[in-house]
Amino acid sequence: MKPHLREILAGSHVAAVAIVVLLLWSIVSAGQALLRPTWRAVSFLITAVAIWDVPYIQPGLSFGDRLLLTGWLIGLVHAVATFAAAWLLSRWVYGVGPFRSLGTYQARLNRRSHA
Amino acid sequence: MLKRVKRAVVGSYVGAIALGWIFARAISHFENALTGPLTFWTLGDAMGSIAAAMGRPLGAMGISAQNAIVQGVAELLRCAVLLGLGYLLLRWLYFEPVNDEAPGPAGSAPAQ
Repeated sequence: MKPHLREILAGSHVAAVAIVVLLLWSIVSAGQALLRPTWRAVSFLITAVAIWDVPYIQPGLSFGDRLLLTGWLIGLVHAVATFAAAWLLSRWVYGVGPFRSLGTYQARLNRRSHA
Repeated sequence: MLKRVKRAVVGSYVGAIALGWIFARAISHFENALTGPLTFWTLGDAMGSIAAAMGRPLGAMGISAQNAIVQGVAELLRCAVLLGLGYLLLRWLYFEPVNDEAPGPAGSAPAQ
């Protein structure tokens, strides 16, 4: 009988690798998107501690703020979309979410290596 | 010789890792094809004000609805090529068992 594509993807570890890669890209995208806003918040705090006062906060959004927010939103959208892709792939192949499927997969690999 | 290459690639999990990366890349291109135009349409105003602040028109910066659609189509093409390549490799490596024993589900251990 011809094997089902889903069974082959699950049995050959291809799906697990794809899910791991997508999850990693999602985490990296989210990290890159949050890097600049986080650095701005940290530098604001450092300035506040250095001058023992609240640093000047410009009213309204400056050009730099708009650029920062745009980049943050694009990175966040990319991170969420990549995570959604990993979740969909995991649901289709294994029937559960990505973290549960990888956890079960790791347990199966450990059992196979110790057998 | 191809059978030896196939056995080595399947046995060492190199095929699984390469195919996993190819399929992940294809999914990423598909996601870019969807989110690229969506990003342009939702953030078009913000991009317009940034371009105005820089003193350059949006079109001169390569940011336009037409360009967004063209980029989306290009991403879809990349996705299709990678999916085709991945499917061909998957078919060659895993649809038929590597061993010469009785055929079973691909990737499963041979019966003892």
